[in-house]
Amino acid sequence: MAYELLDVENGDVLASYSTLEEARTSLITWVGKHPRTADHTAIAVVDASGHAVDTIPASAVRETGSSGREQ
Amino acid sequence: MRAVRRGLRRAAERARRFAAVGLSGDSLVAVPASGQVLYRLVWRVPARERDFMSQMEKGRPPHKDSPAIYWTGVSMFRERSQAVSRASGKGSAVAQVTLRPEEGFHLAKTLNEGHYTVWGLPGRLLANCTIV
Repeated sequence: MAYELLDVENGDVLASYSTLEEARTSLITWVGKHPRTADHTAIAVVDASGHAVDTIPASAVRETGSSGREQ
Repeated sequence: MRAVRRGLRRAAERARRFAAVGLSGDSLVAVPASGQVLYRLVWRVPARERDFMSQMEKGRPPHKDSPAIYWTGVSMFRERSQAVSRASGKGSAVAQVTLRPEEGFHLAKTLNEGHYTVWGLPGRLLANCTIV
């Protein structure tokens, strides 16, 4: 699996990580620094065929605790 | 685990190919478009020029974990289903974009399976797209 930081407006991939934790930390930092991006940024969980099998909106990723998804 | 091994093999092969022509392993090679067909999410139908603007052109900040050159292009996908899988469900649609050689577009294989970064004038990308 790969974990993309995704701009859901047009599917632009901002960055890609090998773990959910890295992506989660990056998203929290990104939204903290650029609050206006919060409503259109998500983490996409991407399988080996390049398809997103899950997307986690920024609103579901909290500063503490997990995103609610298993890694 | 198999996917990780496959990814490492690909990276090693890419590094070997780049090294053969004197480039470092993390090089990005953009090539002129030659009629490739790729897919991109658009926010609504009909698509607008903004749908084909890069993060830079939209005035969005660059991300520290990606090369700045990604910031200047747009994400597209080899398969429609790869684009669809990233849709937010807020009414977005998928555009099929034909990258005609005469339009001056460039593309590079970047990031994950099926992902390409494309560079071109937003108005020209819009003119070469069809909602599918």
